[in-house]
Amino acid sequence: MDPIRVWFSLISGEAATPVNLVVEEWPQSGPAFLHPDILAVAAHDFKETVDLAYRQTLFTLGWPDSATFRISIESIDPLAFPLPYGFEGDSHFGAVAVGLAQAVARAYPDHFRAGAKHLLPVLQAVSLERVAVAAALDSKKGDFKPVGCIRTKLDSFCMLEVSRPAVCVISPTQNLTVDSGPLLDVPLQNDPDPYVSVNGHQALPLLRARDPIDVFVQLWEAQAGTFAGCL
Amino acid sequence: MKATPRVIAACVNVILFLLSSSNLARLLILVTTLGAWWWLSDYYFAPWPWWMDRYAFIVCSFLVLVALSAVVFWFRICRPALRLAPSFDVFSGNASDARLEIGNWCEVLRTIADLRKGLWARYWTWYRLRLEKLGRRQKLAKAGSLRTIWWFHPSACPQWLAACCLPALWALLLLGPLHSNVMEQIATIADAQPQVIYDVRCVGVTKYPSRPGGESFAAGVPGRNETFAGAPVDETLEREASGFQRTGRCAFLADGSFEVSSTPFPRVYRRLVMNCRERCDLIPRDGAAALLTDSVPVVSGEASFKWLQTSPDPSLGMTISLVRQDGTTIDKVSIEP
Repeated sequence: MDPIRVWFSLISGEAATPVNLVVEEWPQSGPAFLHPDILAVAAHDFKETVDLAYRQTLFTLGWPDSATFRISIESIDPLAFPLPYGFEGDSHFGAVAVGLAQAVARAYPDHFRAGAKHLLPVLQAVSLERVAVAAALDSKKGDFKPVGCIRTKLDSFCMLEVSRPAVCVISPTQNLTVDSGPLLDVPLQNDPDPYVSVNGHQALPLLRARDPIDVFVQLWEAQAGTFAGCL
Repeated sequence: MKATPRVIAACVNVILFLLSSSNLARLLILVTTLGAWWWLSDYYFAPWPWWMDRYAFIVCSFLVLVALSAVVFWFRICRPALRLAPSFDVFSGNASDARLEIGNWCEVLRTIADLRKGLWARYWTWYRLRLEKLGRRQKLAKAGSLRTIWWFHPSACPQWLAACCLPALWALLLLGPLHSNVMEQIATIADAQPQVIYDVRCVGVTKYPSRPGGESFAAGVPGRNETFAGAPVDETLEREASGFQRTGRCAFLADGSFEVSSTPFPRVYRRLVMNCRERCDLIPRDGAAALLTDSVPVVSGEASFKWLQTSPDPSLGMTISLVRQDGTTIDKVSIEP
């Protein structure tokens, strides 16, 4: 299986760093785990969020018996956006959950739960390479919940000129007119979709999804619209 | 796949879809083909080249097929697809380079078909069924290759056979003696003028001082002072009860041509059949050997043919008949002497 990459944004100090979350197949059984280099500098909530994403994937879709997946983080541009020294927060939940769901669907479709088999083509076929996710887990409902510093994170995607995500997935309840975090003095955007960067960069389309499956379903329909033009 | 081959392949798919799965399209093309064939097989467009009368219905039928396919392709497939395209493209490269298993492509096509109703849904469902018939759901395929990946698979035979029905119909109509003569009936009923040979003009140049076996030019015929070898002749023959009379200077011609006029409207397929009864020869236009009996088409009520007197007998002994396409004679006259 080719590694699966999903965009997300890491807050470090007052800035946000766009990065790629990479999910790779790993030949040992057990839960998904962080790359040792990341694990060494990750805060507890960061590691806990990865575990929550693993468990959600396990219970909703299934998990292979004889293999697992390693989660690492790649810098988009090591010179312009070096990886932060530490990893904390829970806003990467959406990216991890989406990446793991596709990894299981592509690498171990036979281990999918019977009730989720009908989703296999959707989870396998959706292209995530230009999809960013900024959503945390609402542990009571199992759905996505809003993340903090959303404007900073969205701005970090917009700043990229050459390689940037095509769409950013956020929680349905994510309010773009209220920010939290270090950049509170930035004027807030009233129009939620698409997101227009304060720096005047190209607008970033937003996709509001309830949970990882909803992400795939919405991306699948959008992708079908794209394919209709080239088939 | 580059843009032009891609569009051509997509158009071929639309044509195959229309000819194999759309009864309305098949009926439209059939009616158009038969209508064009009937019109052109029964009705002359005189200024056209001769082959247009024979092959123009194929051109009409093909143009209707192309136009119908273009309309369906653009208004029912392309334009809705452009409208359905999302504001973002999740593919880092070209979407047509995306590789998926055939089974997943089938699901993509199922989703695309569900996005709209009508011809759109029917086309994409037809497309999906073509891929499902391949039977290799695990095989990876690029989006750009999906259009043609099923073309040469045995499961595509019904589609190609359906597409071959149209050329087969063309061949049948082209080769079969299937003229309807409906226009002939309409002409007979609708035309107020009699369906006869109106005039015969004699055209030629005198070559001898006297007509073969007959009197001298100077022996009292009208205009005798002007008749000499090399004199041009262009006159209308008089019609009498026994037929057209070759009088005047035409009587001195040993060879020439007759220009026959008949009912010009409607321009139905008729022929002029000439018979020389061994006193003259008919010279075909293509330079072939002379004939005793020949026929020429009547185009816009006009026909002409060349003749050569071969007997010293002054009588030409020629009969000309105006006949319909089915062989029945409308008018038969002789040209004497």
